[in-house]
Amino acid sequence: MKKKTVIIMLLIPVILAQLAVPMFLIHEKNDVIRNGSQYKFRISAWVVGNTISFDLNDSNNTMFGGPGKYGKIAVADDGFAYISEVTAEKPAGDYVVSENDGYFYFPLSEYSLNEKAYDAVFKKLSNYGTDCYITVRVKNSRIYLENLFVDGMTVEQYVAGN
Amino acid sequence: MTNKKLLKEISAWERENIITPDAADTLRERYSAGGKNTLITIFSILGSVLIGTGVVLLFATNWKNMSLTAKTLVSFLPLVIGQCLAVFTVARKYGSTLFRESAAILYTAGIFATVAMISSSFRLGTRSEIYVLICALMCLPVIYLLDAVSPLIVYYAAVIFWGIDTLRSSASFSGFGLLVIFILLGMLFSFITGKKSEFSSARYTYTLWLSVAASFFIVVALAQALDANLMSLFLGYFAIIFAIAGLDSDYSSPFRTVGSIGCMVIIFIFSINRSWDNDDDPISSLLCLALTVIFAAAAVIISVIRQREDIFKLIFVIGGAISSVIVALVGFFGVNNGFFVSVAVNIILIAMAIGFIARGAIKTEMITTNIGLVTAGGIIAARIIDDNIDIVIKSLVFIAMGSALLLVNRSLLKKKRSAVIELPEVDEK
Repeated sequence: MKKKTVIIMLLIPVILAQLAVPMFLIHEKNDVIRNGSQYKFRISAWVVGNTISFDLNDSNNTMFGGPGKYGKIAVADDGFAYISEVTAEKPAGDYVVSENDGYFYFPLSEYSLNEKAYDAVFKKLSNYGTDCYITVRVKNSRIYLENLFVDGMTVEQYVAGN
Repeated sequence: MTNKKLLKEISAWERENIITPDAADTLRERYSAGGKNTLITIFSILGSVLIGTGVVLLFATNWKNMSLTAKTLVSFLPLVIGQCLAVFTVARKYGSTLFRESAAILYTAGIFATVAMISSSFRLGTRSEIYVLICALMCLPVIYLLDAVSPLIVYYAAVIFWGIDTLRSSASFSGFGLLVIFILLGMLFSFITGKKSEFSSARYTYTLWLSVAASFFIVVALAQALDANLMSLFLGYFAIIFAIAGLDSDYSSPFRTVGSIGCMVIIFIFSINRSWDNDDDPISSLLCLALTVIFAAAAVIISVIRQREDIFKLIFVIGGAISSVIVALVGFFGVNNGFFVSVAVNIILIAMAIGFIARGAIKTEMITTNIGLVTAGGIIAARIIDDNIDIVIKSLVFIAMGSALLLVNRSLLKKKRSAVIELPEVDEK
């Protein structure tokens, strides 16, 4: 068999696998969005360039030191979720995994923003006490950001109304 | 036979299957105007990068106004274009290095662009180190199948970025093991490229430099995995690299250059008194000490096998290996007064610098002499900058060092020229 034929025969599965990778990433997200549990987390947010950066609100107290990277999710009486404990072993129930082993960081910290939205959101988030929260979907430790809410509206709705 | 005619003949032999496309490539590389060919390849790669960037920017300007379906379709476009180009190149232009390299670069850019655009459109929130790793692993078969060396730098950079970032946030040996495997996969390609050209082509030299640079990051990652300061290990590593060079005296090969300069730089760092006063990051683990000893032993064994006929190189490696173990031992047991250790290291460094100067002068190797001179100058400069010496004296010392550098180089150049003139004429008959 000619060398060129062999290379093309090898190239075909490579091409298919390469096309499958982005498709798989989309499928993963859709699966979590459709079948994952939904949680609301209060956040402190600020605008950096074209993204909203955020940390979980202080009341969630997620900056845990010590060993462990698994953050167990619990829901408070007001319906908002928080990280109840950080463990070295996978906990029962829904949990998120920190990038850092030994100091827990919530795995999400950014929400990309439309350029036109910058001014309106920047002013609003600069006001101390603005009510902000995110909704996420969690399934088997996989977590995806659904929406970011400002004063009870999604950030997109808020921008459209201003 | 003129080169032009020979090149035509090579194409004919390839068409008639007298020689393989690889052999044809090697012959073309050998008999075409080398410099011109390399330049054309570089400009073709640059052109491909510019085209790729332009296409991505064109879509990026209208990105916000597109529907999700349109965004998805457009996102896949760079990847599909790269794939079509690759198939075309393999089918029609596989013999052309220019085509293979350009297609591979466009293909690589397409992979990165597609994954980035999909990630952004669907708000996948993929972490940057995971994103680059996914793209690097998608690029690897392209490098092998298109036999293209240019995307190797992208591959190495991506896996190293992933490895260092992952190990910094969460030190683990499984992460380190994976990084080693990924880097070895790149090195394997370098070896295959070398084998095709009997380890003598410019393409192989390029991949070799990249592979040696990547191997340094294995040691960096090991330091991350062990969560320790491993300067002594770096010294052992550079001694190994120098030993691998064997009797090869060619500085275009990375082993001798990286090995000698690396050793000198690390020892130079330890010659500074302040480096011993830093208690924040001690070499405290027994494992680090053990690894340093293993590295040092490996360097000496390799040197004995490969460099026993060259006593200077053997002494250099043994000196580097012993220094690394001393540094590790001092770090492990602690040091009450760094001054005496740094004085000892200064003496070792000065001895090495003198050795380099002498070796260069005897063998008429200007680079070797210059490494020695720069090291000696560096030691003097570092010491007089450290101390409160009068500015006039400092200036005079710098002038003297500069003059010595110029004079030695001038006399070496003269010696080299006279050696060339004395060569007997070759009878062309």
